[in-house]
Amino acid sequence: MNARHPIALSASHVSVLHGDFKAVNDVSLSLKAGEWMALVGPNGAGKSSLLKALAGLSPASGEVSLLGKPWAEWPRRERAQTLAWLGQAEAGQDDLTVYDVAMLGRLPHQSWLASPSAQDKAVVEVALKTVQAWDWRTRSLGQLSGGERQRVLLARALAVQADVYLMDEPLAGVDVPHQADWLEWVRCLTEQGAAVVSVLHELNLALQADGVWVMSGGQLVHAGLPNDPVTHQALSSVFQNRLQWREWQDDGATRWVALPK
Amino acid sequence: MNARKVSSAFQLAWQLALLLLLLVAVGCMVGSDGWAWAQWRTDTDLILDIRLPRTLGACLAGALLGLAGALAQGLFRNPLADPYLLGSASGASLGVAIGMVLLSQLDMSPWFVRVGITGMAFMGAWLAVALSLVLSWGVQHTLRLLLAGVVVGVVLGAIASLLLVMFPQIQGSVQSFMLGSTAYVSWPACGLMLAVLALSWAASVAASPLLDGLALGESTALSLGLPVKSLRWVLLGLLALCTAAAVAQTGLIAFVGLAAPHLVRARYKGIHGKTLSLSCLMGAVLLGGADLLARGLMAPLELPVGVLTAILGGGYMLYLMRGMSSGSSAGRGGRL
Repeated sequence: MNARHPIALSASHVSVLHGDFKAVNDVSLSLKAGEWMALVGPNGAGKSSLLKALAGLSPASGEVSLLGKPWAEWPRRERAQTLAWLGQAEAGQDDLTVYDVAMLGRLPHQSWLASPSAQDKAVVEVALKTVQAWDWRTRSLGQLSGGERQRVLLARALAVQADVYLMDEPLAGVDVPHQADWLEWVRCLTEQGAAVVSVLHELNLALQADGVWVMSGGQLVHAGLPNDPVTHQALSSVFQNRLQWREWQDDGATRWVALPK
Repeated sequence: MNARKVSSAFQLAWQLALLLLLLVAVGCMVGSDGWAWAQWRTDTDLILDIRLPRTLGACLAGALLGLAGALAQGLFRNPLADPYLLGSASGASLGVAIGMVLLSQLDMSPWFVRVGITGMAFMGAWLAVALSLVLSWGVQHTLRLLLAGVVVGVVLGAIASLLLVMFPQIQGSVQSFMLGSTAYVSWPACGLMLAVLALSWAASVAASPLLDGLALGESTALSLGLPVKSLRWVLLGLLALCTAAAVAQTGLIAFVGLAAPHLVRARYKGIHGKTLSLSCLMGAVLLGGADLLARGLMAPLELPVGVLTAILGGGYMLYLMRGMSSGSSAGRGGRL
């Protein structure tokens, strides 16, 4: 999973139009290999639209490069092996089993019509065990709660073994212990050289990231460190100044918590 | 784990295949005089020329409808989708009505009329699906495609009704087509349906990873590197081909395409490659069984098989609705 290029993902002057409405307006950014960035902002700020544009899943103007190579130059399958996507509330037909869903993550690595290899099966087993879903691998998605289903979808993304992970609200419906587990998994991924971008509504989880991208009105209004007061100011500003900040010590390190005001 | 799943898929496939063989055997013994077991040794010609092609034809048409239903439900990600969703039923009815009007003006042999009507039904079903695709500007937007299918179905159905009013002499024949019947399925018709089924099944299973990907949403399917647009065209083409081939030979047969995938999923949950194949077998068993009942229930009077499938299918839908209202739907049973 070691990234082949120091810049995992970059965007230059990316804009997304939804009809007449400009959902993303001239955004430029850069994500290093081994870095986790949290994308935050109020509802309708353009976070999901930007993430989809970065993943090449919606039409956008501007240029996006993956591992230094422009998006259009990537062959479809190779691109799918390099970038893993976890969408917001992915619709799930209830009839696929947990194992089938996780195995879909290996599709970019498999030849057409080929059965899953021993390696595919081993990777899927690890992914399902990572999200603690291995024990109910024979259950169908329809038999899972929202949070359990989200963990299975995360296992599907992990099974891709990509260099870049783009996750849109990956923790929707996930309980607190598994949110903490998710933080561990993301740190593990970045330690292995992967880059992660996650849209998060839970600001205190977003403040655990290596960096925070703040969006409002379709624009990237701030990119900074989670402990930087300027970042806190930008966040307060986009959330109508309805945040208050509390400082706390965590193993000698200063951390910040955002509370509603 | 997968050993268990694969065995359940194989187990169901074997059970359905055995049931199918039994149906075909019994189908050879049921005639206009009811359940005539003793005829097996004496009326070989009757069995080989009429009962066997008819029974096999019913099973093949059922398999085509079962496959089309599973394709429709996977493509539109809607468990209520059925093969007639894109207007193919109305298109086929209109084709039959036009064919009847044109052929009734000419003095032709009944065989030629039969072939002509079958061809018109096939063309009507295909053209209706093509019209739905044109009106929806392609396959990208599922909702637009479904709406276009509804519009095409209503408009073509209205034109067919207009023809019935203008040419009352064709009413009986068109009515018979719309009720569905396997009575006139011949060996050539069986050959045609078998060829379409073999091609469509192989192509559908090859393209089934798209349906698995689409089950998690279009963005996920795209992110997995699947050629979503081209595979969707392929699968829609196969859906139209299967439906048109079945409708052209047996008329409009309700609920088989809707019920077969549901019955499969009630027993086996897994990837589309397997559910498509199992839906073929289930459709064959359903229509083969319905054909037997249609022949034997009120012999020597034969019920239109489409009426029987509609009554049985309607009952099954009510059963599904009951399951939903008592809370045993997707969450537990996964039926709807």
